[in-house]
Amino acid sequence: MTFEVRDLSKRFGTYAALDSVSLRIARGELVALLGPSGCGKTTLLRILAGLEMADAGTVHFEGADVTHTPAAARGVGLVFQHYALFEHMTVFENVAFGLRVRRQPKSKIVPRVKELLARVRLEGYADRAPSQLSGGQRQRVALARALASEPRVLLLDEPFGALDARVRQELRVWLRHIHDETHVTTVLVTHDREDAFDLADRVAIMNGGRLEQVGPPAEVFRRPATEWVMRFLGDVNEVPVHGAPTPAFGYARPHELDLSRLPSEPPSFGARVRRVQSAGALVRVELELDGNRSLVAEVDEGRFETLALRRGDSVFVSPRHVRVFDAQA
Amino acid sequence: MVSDFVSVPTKAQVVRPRVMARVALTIVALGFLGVVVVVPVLAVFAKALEDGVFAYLRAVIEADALSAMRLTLWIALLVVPANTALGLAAGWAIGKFEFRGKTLLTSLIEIPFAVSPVISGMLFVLAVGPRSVVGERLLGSGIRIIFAWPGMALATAFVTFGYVARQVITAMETTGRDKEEAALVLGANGWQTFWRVSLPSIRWGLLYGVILCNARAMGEFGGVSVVSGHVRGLTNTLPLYVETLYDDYRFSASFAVASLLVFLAVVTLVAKVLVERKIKVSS
Repeated sequence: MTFEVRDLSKRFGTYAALDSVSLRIARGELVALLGPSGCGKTTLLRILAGLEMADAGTVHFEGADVTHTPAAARGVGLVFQHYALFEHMTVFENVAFGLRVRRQPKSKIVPRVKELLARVRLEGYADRAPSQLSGGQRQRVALARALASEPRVLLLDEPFGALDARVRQELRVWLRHIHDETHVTTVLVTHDREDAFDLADRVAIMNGGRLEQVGPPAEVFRRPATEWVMRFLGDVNEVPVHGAPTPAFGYARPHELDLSRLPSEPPSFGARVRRVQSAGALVRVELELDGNRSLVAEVDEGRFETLALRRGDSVFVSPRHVRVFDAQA
Repeated sequence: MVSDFVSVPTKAQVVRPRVMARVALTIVALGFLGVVVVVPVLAVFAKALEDGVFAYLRAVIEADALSAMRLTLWIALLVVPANTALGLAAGWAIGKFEFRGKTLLTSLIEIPFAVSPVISGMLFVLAVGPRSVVGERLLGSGIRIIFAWPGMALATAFVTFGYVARQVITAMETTGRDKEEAALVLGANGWQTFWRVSLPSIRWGLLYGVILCNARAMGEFGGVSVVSGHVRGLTNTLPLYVETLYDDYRFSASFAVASLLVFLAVVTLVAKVLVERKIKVSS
């Protein structure tokens, strides 16, 4: 039992929002579509919801082809970045909406809405207007509304995009919690790495209308498939690769660079300390290589104290892990 | 000590010219308003009450005056709901959907604002008047459009068509499509989405358009004048009746009837302000 898109393509004028995208999502899984703005992730989500029609390709829900099924009949729950709550209705009526338009009896609606409001911890807010709630609370109402009619798949479009960092963090933990309780298949669209890594079972990284890489967060972070993914997922250093037939460069993350006062065998190379930034869990050391190229290394406090690095010092850098990608990207 | 040589203006020196400018501008604005609004309105009432309160009341409840009021209300009663329904439909389509001919439809809605009402009236006379093909046929079967209330309603409808549509388009566009999409995904059909989501969220904008449309419909002169034929007690609306009385040298009666239109304007303004506040609060 899976949710699947096959070879989806979608153009807006001359702009290809999706270019032959295929993705399979297992039941109960939480998948994040991660990518920069304009990469096609929202278009893919809207096609899943039935709000947008693909130019080519098919959509399958649990074995059935729903490519041409209208949004209302797909049984999806959708949460928008800007909540899209019905401002003229109370919180209760917002959550009840999906049940009311499906003509559920009142005896079913009232307990169901109460249960959902309890789940999103807004029991006392049933009679409030959405405008009386904070951003985080509104998004919880939106989630309760989406869950009310027991959707087959829950779609979240940048659900934390309009919230400040602290609320965002809280809501993330809490959303994962809800997912663990309900096990509803969930697709989360986000441009934020932390959202994706914190929440998702698997991350699908998109770029320019294509899927770059799909896999568990740890895997895509440790073993990026392309240079683009490597750069997108965090700070990157270009380091010289030894033993290559021609001068070549590989990629290493700042925390993958070891620093030392003494030279060791290649692949170690010399550099000069340009700046030290020690406020944080790791100490950030900016280094200058010959030819004006720069590197950033991150070392832990203990190591930093042993090295006692200061601006202008000479150090030797040895990367623990260097990735080399094919020239295709 | 540089500050000793540079004359730093004291607070009072800075404030005084600003206050002066503010007072001067306020006087100019109020003076202008007084000349173009307050004086004419006061003149209307002064003239209307020139021959005393009884003459005023007599002029207002005269048979021809009552008939003009009835016709004005009747036309508004026909035109405002029709334009509300059409304006809502057009506004919903334009504000929420993409389709071919959208720009054309938007321009069509703007036409009545661009065309002089007198020209609009002329168009109806040409199209369905007694000398046109259609008008002749209709007259043959006993239906009179021009120089009768149907033509006046048509001309009024044309002139006031855009008022509701414009407000609805603006309101529909500002509320965006998110809510409709949310409703759709939650299982609502188009009808439910319109009645439960789109319409309630633009209700104040709609009411605003209806108020403007009504005020314009009741006050319309030019277009209606051309198609009415000015038959006293039959095809005179209030604005036309004001003119008729004036032409008869019955000045104080004319101003008495005009004062009714002033009252209508005041009621409209108050309603407009109240609704505007609601729109501000809800957005």
